[in-house]
Amino acid sequence: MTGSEAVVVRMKSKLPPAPLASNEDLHREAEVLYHARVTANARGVDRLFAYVMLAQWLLAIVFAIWFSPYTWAGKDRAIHMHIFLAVFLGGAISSAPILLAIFRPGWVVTRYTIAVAQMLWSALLIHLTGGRVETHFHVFGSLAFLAFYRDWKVLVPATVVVAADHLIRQLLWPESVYGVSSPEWWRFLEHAGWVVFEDFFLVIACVRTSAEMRDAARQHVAIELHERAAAARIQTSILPRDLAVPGLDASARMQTADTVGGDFYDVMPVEGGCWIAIGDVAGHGVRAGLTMLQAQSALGALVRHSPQATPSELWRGLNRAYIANIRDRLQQDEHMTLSLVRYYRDGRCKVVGAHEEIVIWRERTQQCELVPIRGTWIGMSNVSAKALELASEEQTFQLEKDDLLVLYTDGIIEAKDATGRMIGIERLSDAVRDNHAKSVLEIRDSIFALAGAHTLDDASVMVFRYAGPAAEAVAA
Amino acid sequence: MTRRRLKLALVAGGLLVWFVAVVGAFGLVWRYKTTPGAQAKAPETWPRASQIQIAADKPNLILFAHPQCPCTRASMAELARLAVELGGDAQIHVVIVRPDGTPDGFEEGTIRERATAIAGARVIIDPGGVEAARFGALTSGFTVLYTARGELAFRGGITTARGHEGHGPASDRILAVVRAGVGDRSRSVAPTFGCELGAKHITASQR
Repeated sequence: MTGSEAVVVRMKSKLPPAPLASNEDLHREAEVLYHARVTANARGVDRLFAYVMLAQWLLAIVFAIWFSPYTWAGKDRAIHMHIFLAVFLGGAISSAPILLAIFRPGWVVTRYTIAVAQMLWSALLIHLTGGRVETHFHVFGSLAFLAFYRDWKVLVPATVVVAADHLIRQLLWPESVYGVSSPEWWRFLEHAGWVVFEDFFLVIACVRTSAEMRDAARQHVAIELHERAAAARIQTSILPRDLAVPGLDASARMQTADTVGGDFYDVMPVEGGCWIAIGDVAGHGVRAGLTMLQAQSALGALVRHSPQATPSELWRGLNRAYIANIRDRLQQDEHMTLSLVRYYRDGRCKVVGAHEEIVIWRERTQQCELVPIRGTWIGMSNVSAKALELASEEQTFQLEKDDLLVLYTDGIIEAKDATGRMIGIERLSDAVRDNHAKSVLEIRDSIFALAGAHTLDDASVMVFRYAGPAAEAVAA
Repeated sequence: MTRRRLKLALVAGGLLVWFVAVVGAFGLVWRYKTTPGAQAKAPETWPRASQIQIAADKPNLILFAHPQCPCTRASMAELARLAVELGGDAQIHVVIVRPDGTPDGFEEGTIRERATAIAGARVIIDPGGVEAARFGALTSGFTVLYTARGELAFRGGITTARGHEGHGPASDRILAVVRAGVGDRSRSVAPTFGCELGAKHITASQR
């Protein structure tokens, strides 16, 4: 190995392939979305029924007070039994569904309880109106309302309660349900038959709307997967293919999450060193990807135009370009966190921006050092010049031979391991310490190994090993 | 048992208790609705002291009503239906009892309006419930049917439960008596559902 080869290490950055949407992925995600929508719909209908239950209860009380406030014994009067019935029995019927709708919305048992309670309300109203035929319409209206769940199974307990109520009351007290004392023996079958008649159409409606919801979910997921793949392509295609930096052994990797975030990193060699950038655009999807693309383009242009500018000057230039493009033209409100590092061949580093703490492994002391980045986000508008000056204040640190410089995005330290514990900066530092003797590629992968195969957000890691001033001399 | 299962068991237990409680409450309602009011014996023949004008050429059907009793609305509805079926074959009287100690206008209201709306019915206000006492009426909705000869053919309520409208066996009996001209003594009594009338108690001789 020649000296120059030892100093200038060319390491290909690993580019993950754009995620492909297999039929299995599509089916799985469509089912997840479909069930989420079914549950969301059920929660909404539960809430509606909670109001209906409350309204029925209050209306029953009002009707009782209006039509039969008192019972009489000659000139003396007392509160009529109907008022107690409306208050206590009505309250009892409504209580369970209201409580479940408030505390357990979306549960299957909640909608079944609501179905039963609604039919008990029908039974009570039919009873209180002396079996008036008109009150039976409450049953049919309630069944139609229950179909809002788009779950035909909810109609089953409702129908069973109606049929059982009619049968039992026909046997014991037919006037209370039919208004006549001696109905034909098959009268309950006639009533139940009409209920089943309505059920038949409601079941068809429920099945059809469920199928439509499933189709809609599938279409939505197909579009989303396509968009996600496009966003991932944008995100990964602009990453540097070549991390060749004099004096630095470098390795970097980005792992895109299921929902594309807005991570990006870049290494731009310039005379006497390089510019290193790592950042994260807020938001997800194509919009975040496009925002990141614009920021990267602006940064590249600034570096190429003024390679020897100070980090502070470059940061302010990028901030101006970002505000002009993203805020003023696109009218978007995403901001971007960014660490901008100017590396000099003698090991000096100047950093500006606002991002995760930089981890430096000090070979001499065998310890990790954390460098907090105390600036502010890119894209903060309405900030005074003085505040901008403070925000773009540079920090300087010195790398020594075999020191490691580790930069990463929040997707790494906020990832959770198999036990659900967040990785955090301490475990990341431990991984650097434990693997410091290995190659930068192995160190990088050991950090990713902490986060596991899946992260909720994009995750990026850059690892640099400084070859030292001696190597610098050789290179020179 | 895991915490989740315990929660599910609690919810299931709570729902079972709720369902049983509600069904039990329906049972109490049934009991209340089917418990009849007090009933006394009506005189076997038309009371001589009665001021109600008897129709000598046809049976006389008299319903006693408390003017403010909500349950009696069902009796009035049933009487209206019965009147249509009788078609003038019986003279219908509705006696609205105004109990002692009640203010003027106490007899006004839905009951009187409905009674007045029954074609051919004579509506009589009964201050102090004197006439009600003569006919042994203690409960609102109590109905008596006397043949044209003044013999008692039916006594009791014409609804089958408290506040429940609908054609019942009592109406069938009344129709049968009117159409046949004679009553079946063994089937001439029915329970009455309604408010207490507050009529005076009088002896047989005072009738």
